[in-house]
Amino acid sequence: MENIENKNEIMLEDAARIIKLDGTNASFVMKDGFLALTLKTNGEEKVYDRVFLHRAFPHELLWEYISVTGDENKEIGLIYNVDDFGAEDVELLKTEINRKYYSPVIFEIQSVKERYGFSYWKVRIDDGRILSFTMQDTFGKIIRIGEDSAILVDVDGNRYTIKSILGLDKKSYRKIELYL
Amino acid sequence: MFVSDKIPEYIYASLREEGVELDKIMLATYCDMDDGHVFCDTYVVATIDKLYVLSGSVVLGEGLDKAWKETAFREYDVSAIERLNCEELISSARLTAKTTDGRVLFLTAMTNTCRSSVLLFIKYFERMKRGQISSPDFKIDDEDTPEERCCPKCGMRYPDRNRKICPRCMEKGKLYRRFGMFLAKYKIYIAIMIISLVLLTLTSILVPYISNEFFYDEVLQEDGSFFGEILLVIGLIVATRLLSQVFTVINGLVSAKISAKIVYDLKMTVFKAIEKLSLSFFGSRQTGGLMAQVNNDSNTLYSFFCDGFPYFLINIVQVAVICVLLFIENPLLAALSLVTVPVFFLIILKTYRKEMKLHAKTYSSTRAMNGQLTNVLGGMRVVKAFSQEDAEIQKFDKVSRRASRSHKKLSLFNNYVYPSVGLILYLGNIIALGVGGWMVISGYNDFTYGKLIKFVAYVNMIYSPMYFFADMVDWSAASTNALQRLFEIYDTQPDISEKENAVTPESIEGKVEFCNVDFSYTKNRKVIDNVSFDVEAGKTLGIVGHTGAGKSTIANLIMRLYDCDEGRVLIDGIDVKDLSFKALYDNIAIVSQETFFFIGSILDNIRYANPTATYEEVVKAAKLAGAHDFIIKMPDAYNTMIGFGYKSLSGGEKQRLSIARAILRDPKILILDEATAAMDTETEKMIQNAITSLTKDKTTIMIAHRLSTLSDADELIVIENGKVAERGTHKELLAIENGVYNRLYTLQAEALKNAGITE
Repeated sequence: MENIENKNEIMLEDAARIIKLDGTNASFVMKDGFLALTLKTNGEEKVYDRVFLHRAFPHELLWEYISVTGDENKEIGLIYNVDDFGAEDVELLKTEINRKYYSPVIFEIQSVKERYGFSYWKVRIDDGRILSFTMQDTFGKIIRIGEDSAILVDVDGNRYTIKSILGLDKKSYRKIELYL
Repeated sequence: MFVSDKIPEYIYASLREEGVELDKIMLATYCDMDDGHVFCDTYVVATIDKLYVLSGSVVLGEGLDKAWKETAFREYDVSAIERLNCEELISSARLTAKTTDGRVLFLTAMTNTCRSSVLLFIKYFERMKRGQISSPDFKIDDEDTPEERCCPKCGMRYPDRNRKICPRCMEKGKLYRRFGMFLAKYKIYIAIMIISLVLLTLTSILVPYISNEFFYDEVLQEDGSFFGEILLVIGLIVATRLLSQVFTVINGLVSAKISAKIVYDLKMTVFKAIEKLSLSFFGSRQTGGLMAQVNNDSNTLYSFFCDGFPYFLINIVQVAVICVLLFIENPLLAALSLVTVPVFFLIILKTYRKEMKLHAKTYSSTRAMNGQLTNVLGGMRVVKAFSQEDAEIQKFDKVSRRASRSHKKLSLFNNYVYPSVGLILYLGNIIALGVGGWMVISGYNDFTYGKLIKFVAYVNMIYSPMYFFADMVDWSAASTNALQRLFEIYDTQPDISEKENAVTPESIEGKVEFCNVDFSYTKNRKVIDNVSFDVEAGKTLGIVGHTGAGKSTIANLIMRLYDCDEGRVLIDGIDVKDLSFKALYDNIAIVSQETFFFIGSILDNIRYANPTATYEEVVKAAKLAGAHDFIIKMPDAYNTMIGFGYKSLSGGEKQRLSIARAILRDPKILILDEATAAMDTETEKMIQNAITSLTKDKTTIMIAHRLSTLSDADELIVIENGKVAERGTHKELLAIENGVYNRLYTLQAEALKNAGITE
């Protein structure tokens, strides 16, 4: 009976264990266009040819608490802060994270037209490009993040970020105000 | 050849230069990024043997000429590719290829905008790999043709393929015409309403004439045609007022008669449309929102079309007639009196946007407050369990204050703006009195006191329609939105529909087959991946697997709650898509973990499966299900009201009622989807007999976490990641060392043993 209890405790411990990844036990490289990880545990090296990065708190901590999973979607470890790695790794990690969480930042809303349950948006984004997209169920697809930010999700599932709603120019603000 | 997006001629030229044989191209698609996630133009092209990826962008060449600049070109052997995959990121995706030697190749990235085209490319690429298509002139599925995906007028991709509505080309006028058609059956009533309103207007215009100009100038003046005939005037005034009342009553009666009918019709139309929709539609909408839509929109439309629109027409007529009368009477005074009208509209237009914003804010803050309230009341048990009452009060206080503030602002605005603009409008009246009074005194153009009083009364009659017109803008916007929403539901095509020539076999034996079935709830995320199995009629198949492995999806596909993407689901050798809904639902019953009971008695709920069942049959079914004993102990026994707001039942009791309902149905195929999951092991054992009697002589698909309940099944399949990992009898699967079933069984047996339960 005691053995069984011990076994259960060990299983719980295993389930709650977080493997912290940092520059001392992990390093990343790009391999055939995918991010690969080399992990050192107890003096042994294990190479994961393809790993995936997931922000645990994507709206609050951009470069902290990054979960690293393998091919079967099982977590290999958790990066507490990307800065715990060397400069090369940091660049790789940031590039990969930016690619995954790519979301154009809206600086100006040029026009919003409502038609038949859809709204048509024309916006200027951070790199200066003018983008047009369509939203359905506009009220529901503008997700407020905190008091001042919002994410807009278009009909194709593309996301657009407004970092500061109050920071938008007056004309832009007036166009989005009705939906907030 | 299938080209999911238009490919420019210079791309074909570039491909030709790279040695691609253009006449052999089977498939082509466009992506807006390259393999470094950099925005550019990437074309993925497939022939029978090769897959090509061409990236580049259009750049400014010499002068202002634009030229295609290629940045990358890669080619792969199709034979070396096992499958293509579109991997979703957040706003973007990656097209990858899994090679036959297990490697993954990164072909290109794209934003989600290109994803649907790429998914089509993958669909036909898989068919090409399977040898189902072999020449460039293969037939594209009807639903994938450009005509089905894009607006024929402007070429824009439909935002929702199922609706085939191009918002850009959709005319608002069409909406109103469509709704007009809907109201056509009430045309006689509506005509009576409009006629009575016209007559009402005419009588109201007559009153100022009789009681002012006619009375003062023709009756009270010595030189008047009816001097001294006061009784006549009073009689005329009373008659006109009476007539006006008669028309008001007629209008009221007709309006009351048809209003309820129209609202009822609207609600039924929308509800019927909702009922026909497939399960996937409800997965993407909130049920509460749908109900609000049905209720509010019907009322909005009724009030606009039956209260608003006729009055709008009448007011137009009234204003036009009065304006004509005023200008005929005294053009100068008319022009001076009406000078404030454009000023009024200018201010209304200026303040309209502000008012709309205040309305929207009030609406959204009230919605947030109601949402918070519903949320907390629904989860009161959790709130109390975690002692979060104070925190919830604070949250509610915050949203409630916000709602209160927005209501106050709107109210202040209305109380400030409308009296102010009303005052401006009223200035016209003052002008009429002042200038008109001077005209009477100076005898200008025979302008008499009676005419002046009539004139002022008519000017006043113009003002109230002005307010109505100002409101009409808001009113029509709200009704247009309501119409859009109404037709949005009405036009949505159910994903699952019965074929025109659907088969209804005389009897069904109950053989179930899955042939190479693929299915995904969201595109590209296969939940069922190439699954094949068969169950002979009357036999039991157990389905085992981890949570999320795809077990319940198999049940959904047999029930045809969803259609498979590839492959076929057969019942007695007939594709479920060819079977009539009646044949399907009469012969299949499901008992699932999620039980649902409608508001009604236990009797009604058991009879839901077979409304004509006798009392004896209901009691027998309940006995078989092990439900009779607990039902009979209740004071109202089978007449006990259950469902939302009534007696709550335990998980085990609900499940037994659900089994009783299925027994009453007596289906040929029975699906038990975690039917005993809500029960403890003891209760489960108690109703095992019920399950045995329920499954007797029926084809049974049994999905269960607890493997011990499946040990009697004729055959078992183990589902892992949407695929059939193992297949065999309980004994055969246990015999596979390190097998998935063996591992799961050992783990469960150990866990039960630890809990002190032996099976």
